[in-house]
Amino acid sequence: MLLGLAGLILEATLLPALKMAGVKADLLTVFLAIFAFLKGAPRGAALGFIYGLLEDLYLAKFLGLNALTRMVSGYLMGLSKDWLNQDNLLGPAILAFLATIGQGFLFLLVGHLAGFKYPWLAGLLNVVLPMAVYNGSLALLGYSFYQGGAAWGTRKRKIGS
Amino acid sequence: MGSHRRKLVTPLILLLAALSFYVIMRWTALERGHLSILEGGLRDALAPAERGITLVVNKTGAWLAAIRDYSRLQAENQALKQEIAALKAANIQLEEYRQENNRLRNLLKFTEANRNAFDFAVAPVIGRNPSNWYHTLILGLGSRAGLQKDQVVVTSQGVVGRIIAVTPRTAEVLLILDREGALGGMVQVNRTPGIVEGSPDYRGYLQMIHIARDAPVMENQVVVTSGLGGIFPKGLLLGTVVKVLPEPDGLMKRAIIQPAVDFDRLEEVLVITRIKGGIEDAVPGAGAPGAGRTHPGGNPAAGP
Repeated sequence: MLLGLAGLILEATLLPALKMAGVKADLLTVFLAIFAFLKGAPRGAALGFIYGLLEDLYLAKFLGLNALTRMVSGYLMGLSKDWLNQDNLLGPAILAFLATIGQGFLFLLVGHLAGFKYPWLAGLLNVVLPMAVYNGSLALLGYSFYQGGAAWGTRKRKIGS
Repeated sequence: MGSHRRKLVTPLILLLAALSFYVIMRWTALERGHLSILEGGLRDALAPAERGITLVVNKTGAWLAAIRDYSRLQAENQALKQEIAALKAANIQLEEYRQENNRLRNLLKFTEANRNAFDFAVAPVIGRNPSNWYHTLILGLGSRAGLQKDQVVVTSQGVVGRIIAVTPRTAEVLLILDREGALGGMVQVNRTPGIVEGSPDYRGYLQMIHIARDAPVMENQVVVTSGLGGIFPKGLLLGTVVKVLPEPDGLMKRAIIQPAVDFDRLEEVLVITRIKGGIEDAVPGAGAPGAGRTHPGGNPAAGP
């Protein structure tokens, strides 16, 4: 929850200065991909819902749109826990990439139904795809740090005992 | 007699010697360009030894002083390092103030130039929309400072957007880059009207749509607000046409516009809190025959 809030604040303040191909990274999707990869579908869906709701409340627009899309993507990403090796650093990267594309597609679809008519092709090519690459790269980096930190913690515990 | 003479010789020699030395003293007391051979030779012979000894003494003295003053020098070094760090921080702060001063000076020039048309409030930008789908800013002033929905936000470069939501301490600004931030615009030179909105395929650019195919719109033309829609005053700078593209239907065309404002580098903006004389007459000299009609109401800042 706190990580989500921190991610939102960073997205609103720091990340606009770090745009790549005209888009900002979506830290919430990166956090969610790593969390769901580690914890599974039900907890992934729960965190996705919380993150999405936080974002909706912050944006104060189409309340529930992000909660819904992130909950679905959190659930689907969590399913990978049973069939992806958790030592595989590429796991969260692939999940974040696919989740960004899925969320973007769902966002455009639900947005069209709710009155946010963003052109499909421009939305997918100019926003969703660059964002997916950006998020996937960050997830790879983030999960590498996480694995490195976990390995370091294990070594410290062994030395301590 | 002989012994008497011998007794006188010694004092005489001493007297002569004293007189000679007196003369020599008087002679050598004067400033001389050249020393005597004896003086010069002695001085030159001793010079290397003097130089060597002085060097050793100086070096040793410096080493001894350094050893003696080590703790004092260490403390002084520490203090100087801290002072340098503090000065660097102060320098960075001063640079920030200098840049802020420049930005505020530009805003002030703009407000001075438009004081007969508008009342302004300066507001800091404190955040941006975290999503890639919307283009909004959060300002650090809200309804307590008199900001209201639909007030127009500008900088000295041009139009930024309009306020879409206010809280007591913040205001959300919908940028003209946003798909939902469409406004009426016109090409300044020939008054060709059109709707200006964020371009979905040229991210970071605006586009003017619904332009008749034969309209005289071309590159490098300046686009300003038309005053249509009742929110944006007429004649405010939007940007410059960089490309003209035909629409797929073949009947219309659209112009891609480079915005006048750099939306990624906004730190302070001006909110137009009052438009003196109404939307149509807001910017002196913006009006022209056939430039469009006034749509009443909409902007709460508009009024007599």
